[in-house]
Amino acid sequence: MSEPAEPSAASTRTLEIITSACLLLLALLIMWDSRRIGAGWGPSGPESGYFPFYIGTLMGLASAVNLVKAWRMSRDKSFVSVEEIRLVSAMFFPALAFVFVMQWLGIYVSGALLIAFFMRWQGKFSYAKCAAVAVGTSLVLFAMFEIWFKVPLLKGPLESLFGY
Amino acid sequence: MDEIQALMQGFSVALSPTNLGLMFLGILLGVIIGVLPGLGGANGVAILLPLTFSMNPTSAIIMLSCIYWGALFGGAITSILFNIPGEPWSVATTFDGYPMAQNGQAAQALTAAFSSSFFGALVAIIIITFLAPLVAKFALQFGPPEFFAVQLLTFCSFVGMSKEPAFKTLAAMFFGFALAAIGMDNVTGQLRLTFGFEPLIKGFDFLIAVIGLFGIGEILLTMEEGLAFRGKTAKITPAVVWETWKMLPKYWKTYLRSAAVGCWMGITPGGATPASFMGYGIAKRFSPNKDNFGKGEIEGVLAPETAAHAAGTSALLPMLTLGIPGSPTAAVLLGGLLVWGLQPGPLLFVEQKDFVWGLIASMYLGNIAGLVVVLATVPWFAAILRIPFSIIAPVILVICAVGAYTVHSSMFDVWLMMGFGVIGYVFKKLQYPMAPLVLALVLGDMAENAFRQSLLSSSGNLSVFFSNPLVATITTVALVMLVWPMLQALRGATKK
Repeated sequence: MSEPAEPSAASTRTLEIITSACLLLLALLIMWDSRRIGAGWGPSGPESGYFPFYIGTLMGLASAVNLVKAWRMSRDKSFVSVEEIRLVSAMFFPALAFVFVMQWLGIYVSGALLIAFFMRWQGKFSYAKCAAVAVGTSLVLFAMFEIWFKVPLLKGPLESLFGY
Repeated sequence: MDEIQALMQGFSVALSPTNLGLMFLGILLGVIIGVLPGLGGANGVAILLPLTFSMNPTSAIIMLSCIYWGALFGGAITSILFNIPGEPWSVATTFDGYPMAQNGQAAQALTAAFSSSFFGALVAIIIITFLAPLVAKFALQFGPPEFFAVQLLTFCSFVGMSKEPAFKTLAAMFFGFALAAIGMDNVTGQLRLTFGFEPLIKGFDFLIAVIGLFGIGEILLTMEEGLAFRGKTAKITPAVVWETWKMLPKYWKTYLRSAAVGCWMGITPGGATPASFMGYGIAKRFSPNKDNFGKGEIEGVLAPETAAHAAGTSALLPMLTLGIPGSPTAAVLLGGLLVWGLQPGPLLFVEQKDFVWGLIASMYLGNIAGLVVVLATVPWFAAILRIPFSIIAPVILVICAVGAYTVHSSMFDVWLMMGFGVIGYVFKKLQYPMAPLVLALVLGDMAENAFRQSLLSSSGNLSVFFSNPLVATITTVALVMLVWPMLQALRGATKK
């Protein structure tokens, strides 16, 4: 819960409406797709869409109630303040970048980059410390997964340079 | 006594050097997981599950269940020393645990918490030892309608017992069922809800959902609080342990009440978190030191801890006997059973005796090991929390990504995990419960199969769920659990 003094980035009501509306749309989609593949009684018993159709219907009903309730909520309560959303973004966007870069560099290298970047940016640690923790974590993970448990993870050009 | 004999057989399985080693490793990992924000019982076990795919199932489940015990113990450390619940079920422990630490009684509070956790778990394990075989034997007579009715009861009691709004619980639950339905229909082979998008054909793996919802979601929430850990230090000496232990027996009534609440909430899937709050509330109502609650009353530490551990442990009873987990972590363990090629349910007690009794024996041993480990190593674990969050957060994120990737070696799963992270963050803030979502995702296919088979036998007539006294009773109880809170919710909505 945020302090009333902090400027709000979005009200709880807005988020409640968005969430319940998304779930309602999803429910309608499920019902539509279940009807498409057959939600009735076929020659070999219930068709593929039979159970999902029920699920979609009930999910839609529950979401509709939530949507109505959300609509009637007061607008005062803050879902997230500007300061809070800044902090969350500071984690979320680097994390997205990490997953994006991972496709080319592999988990170990991109993981080390994420750790070093985040420590330097948010923690203001010295470059040496950032590098030590980042490389150390990746090496421990590498030893554990590739060598000890023999579970191969996604690897990039650096690992193939060393013959993995 | 067949159970005693079987249990002894189980001890001989669990006491092998490998299994003992895995037990200690599991406890240590579990406590670390319990202490760190962003890693909890459910996603901790989910991340480590792929590492056990090649292990022998008994050893694997011993290690994974010990991680779970360790996480249950670990939650108390952060609650008492830092006023930060490492796990949702240790929120109630902060009410009196942290004031005790501020009064300089951190060591007493920790000793009381660990000993109570141990007691709660012990009661639950004894109940599992003697009740589980009976439940399993009874359940052997179940046909598809009975199984579906029991699953209905499980999900309806979520709605009845959760403290989240009833319609949000329902929406989250059906969202889980919907996710479970995605992919190939295993009866007709038809593709459902894939919309021509290839990675969806194999469906959603609940492990990814668990890692995203609980792991990434939790990191985002912790980030939002802009955490700077400031806490007390504690060193537990044998003298303090002894002094505290001498005090504990006089709270025997609180212990029994909390253990009873915990076991009930664990077997019916209320879960450890509501159990801990109920344990705290009941202790407060009956205690002669009512007014001291919230200011550092030792009873306020032991009541929620006993209940939480009793619930966390007894959640394994329905998982083992019926194949229906009582908590998200139990659901992940159930997923493990399926991966190791074991079919959870009553037959497990007949066909996999070594596995079942090895697991039950390891619960006794694991909790003793856990108590010893946490009492001896508290200062060490408290030190972990002094590591700044700007280091912990990216490291945990990388670990989550690794965990998600290992499940199917698929990059798509890592993206999915990030998506579930956002859902977890929003759902948590809006009070959409995640436990029913995860359970529905795990049980969705099983529930659907039971439902279809029931309807096949009755040619589509829903009266099959009332066709004999047993199934009719279960169905009726389930419907009452479901309708009651909804009527209340609706009444509340129209009043406003």
